[in-house]
Amino acid sequence: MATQDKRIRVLLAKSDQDAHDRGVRYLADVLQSAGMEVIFIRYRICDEVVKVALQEDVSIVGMSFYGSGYLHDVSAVIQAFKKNNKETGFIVGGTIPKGDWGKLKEMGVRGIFVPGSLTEDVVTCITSYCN
Amino acid sequence: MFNEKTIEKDKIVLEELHKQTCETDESKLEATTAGGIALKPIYTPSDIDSMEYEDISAPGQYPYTRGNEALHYQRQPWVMRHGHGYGTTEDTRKREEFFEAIGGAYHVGETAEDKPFAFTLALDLPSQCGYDPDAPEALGRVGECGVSISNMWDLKELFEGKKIENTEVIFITPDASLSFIAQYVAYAETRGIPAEKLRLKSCNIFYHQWFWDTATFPPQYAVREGPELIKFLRENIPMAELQSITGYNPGEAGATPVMEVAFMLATAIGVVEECMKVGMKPDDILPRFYAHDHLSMDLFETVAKFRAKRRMWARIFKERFGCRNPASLTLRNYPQTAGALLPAQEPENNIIRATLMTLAGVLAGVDGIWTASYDEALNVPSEKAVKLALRTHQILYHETGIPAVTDPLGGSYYVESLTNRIEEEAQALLEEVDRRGGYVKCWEDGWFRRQLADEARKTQEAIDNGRKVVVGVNKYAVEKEVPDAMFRVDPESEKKAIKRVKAFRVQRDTASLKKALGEVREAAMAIRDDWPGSCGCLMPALIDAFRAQATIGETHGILKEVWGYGYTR
Repeated sequence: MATQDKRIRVLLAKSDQDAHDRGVRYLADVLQSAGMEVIFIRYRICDEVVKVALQEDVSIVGMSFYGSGYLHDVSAVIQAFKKNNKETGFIVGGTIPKGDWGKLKEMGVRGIFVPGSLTEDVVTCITSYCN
Repeated sequence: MFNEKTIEKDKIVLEELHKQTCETDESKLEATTAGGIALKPIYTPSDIDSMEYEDISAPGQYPYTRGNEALHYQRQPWVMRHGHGYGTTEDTRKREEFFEAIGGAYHVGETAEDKPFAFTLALDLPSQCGYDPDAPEALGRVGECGVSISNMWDLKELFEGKKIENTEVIFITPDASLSFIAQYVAYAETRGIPAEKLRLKSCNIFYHQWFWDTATFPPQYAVREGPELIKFLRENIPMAELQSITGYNPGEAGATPVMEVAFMLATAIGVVEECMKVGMKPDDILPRFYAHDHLSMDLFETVAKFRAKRRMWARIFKERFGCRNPASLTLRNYPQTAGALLPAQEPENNIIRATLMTLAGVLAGVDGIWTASYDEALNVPSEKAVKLALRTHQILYHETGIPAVTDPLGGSYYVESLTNRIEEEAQALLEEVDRRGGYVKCWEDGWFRRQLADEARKTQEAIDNGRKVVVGVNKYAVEKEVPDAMFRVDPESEKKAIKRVKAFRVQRDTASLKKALGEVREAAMAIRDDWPGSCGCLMPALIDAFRAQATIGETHGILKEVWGYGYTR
C-alpha cells in the first residue's frame, strides 16, 4: 500500500433478531464523524462477527444488544479471537444490567455503554485503547 | 365555523394580546411540539375558523375526530393491557396470575361472569423470529425478554385449565404469527374447542423490517402473510382481530407523530390493497383491523395525533376505498407508552412519565393502553413495576373523574388547530409515499427506514447537546450511576426449554410429521410462485403440521428456506 490509512477501524455488530437499533446506528455516525472507519453488520450467529472482524482487520469490535444474548455472544466472540491470537478491543452497548458488567469486564470488555451514556465517552474509550 | 361578530371580537383581543406579548423575549415564545410543529403562545377562535363543524363533529359521528363512540369510558374502561412473559411457561403463568389478582382482568363478555383476560404474550427473541430454543441462533436468548414457546407442550402448560374461550390472546411476533396462530388453533382442538370460539388479536407485523431493521422475508413475500392470515381468520375465527397496524414500533425507531400517522395509514392501505388482490373487499376486513400506536411525552401533540389519525382513516377508507360499513371507518387504537423515553437513570421518574403518557391516551379516547413498567430500561418488568403500571390505569379511571365525559379536549382551539396541522402534514407525507411508488416500494428501498433514522439521530443530538431536556439525565442529574437490574430471569430457563423441546421431538410419529411438513413446503412454494391464486393454502397446511406435532422452528424454518430470510441491507 502506498499510503497507509491511519484511521481506527471499528466493527459494530448487532444480532439480526435484535430490534431497536437507533442507539448503535447513532453511534456509527458519531464514530465516523470522529474520524474512524466504521463497519456495521447484523449477524445471525457469532461466527459471522469473527469472520468480518478478521477480514476487515479492525482494532475494535462493538456489540449492541437491545434484548438478550450479550453474555453468550460476547463470550463466544472473545473466545474466537483468543483462538486466532488477534489483539482486539471489545466494547458493548445496550440495555446491559449493571450486575453483569463485572462478568463482561472479566471476559475482556473495555467499555460498557447503556441508555443515557454519552457518545463522547465511547469515542474516548476507543481512542485511548487504540493509542 | 364562528360568526363574523366572534371573529371581529377575536381580532381585537388578538391585538391586545400582541401588545401584551410583543415585549417578551422572542426566544421564550419560540416553541415547537416534540415532533417539530411550530406553536403559537395562545390559540383563539381565528385559528380554527376555516374548519367546518363537520370536520370535528360529535363523538361517535363521522369523521370520528372526537372518538369512535358517543359513550366510551362511561360504558367500559379502556383495556388496561400489559404485555407479559419471561423465562419458562411456568414463570409466565405465575406472572399472569399475579396480574389477574391485582385487577388486570377486563370485562368484555356478555355476562358478568365472563371476565376475559387480555393475554398479551411477550415472546423471547428466538420464538419471535421462529427459532426453536435449541437452534444455534437462540443460544443465550431463551426465556429472556419474553417466554419461550416452540411446541404444543409449552402451550399446554401455559393454558391448561384456563377458559381460553374467554382469553384474548396476542402472540407478539413480527413475521411468525401464522405459525403461532396455527399452533394455537391445533392446541385448542386438543381441548375440544373449535377455532370459531377463540378470541385472538393477530399481531402479524410482517412489515417490521422497515422500522426495526431486523432479519425477515423479502418484502414481496412478507406482504403475502397479511392476506393469508386475514383470509383464514375471517373464515374460521369470527371474533379474531385481523391485523395490527403498528405506529408504536416506528415511533420507537424515531418517527415523529406526523410520520407515525402517515406511515400507519400507508401500512393499512398497503395491507388492504394486497387483500384486494386476492378478492377480499375492504369492508369485509377493515372493521377488525386495530392500531398499536405510540404514546409519547408531548401531551397535546399526542392527543391531536390520535384525533387526526381517526379522521384521516375515516376519510381515506370512505372516499378512496368506497367503504360503506361504518365499522370500517373507525380505527380502534391500542397504544403503548414509549419505551424509548424511559431512561435507565433515576428509573422512578419513569412512573411519572408513564402516567403522563397514559393520560394522553385517555384524553385521546383510545380503546386500550399498554403502560410500560418504569424499570423497562433495566430489566424485564419486576412485579412491583407491573403493579405500579396497572395502578396508574386504575387511579386514572377511578379517581380522576376523567372518564365521565367523552373527548374532554374537543373544541379546544389549540387541540383542534394542532389536529389540523398534523393531518395536513401527514396527508402530504402520505402523498409522498404514493409518489415514491407506494408502500412496498418505500419499504423495499429503505425510504421509510431513512426517515425514521434521520429523525432518531436529530433527537439524540438534541439530547446530547441539551436542547432537549430529559430530567435526571441531561439536566439536574445527580446520580452518576445507573442502578442494577431489579429483576432477573432464571438462567436455568434456557436449559429447561431446550430439554423440553428435545423430549417433545422424540415422542412424535415421524412419518405423519414428515408428510405434514412436506405439505407446508408445497404450500409455501405455491404462495411464492402462484400468488394470488394460492392464497389460503398455507394456514391449513400449518395447522395440519401442528396437529402432527411440528415445532415453530420447523414450520417457520420451511418458510425461511422457501421465501428466503435474512438481513438484506
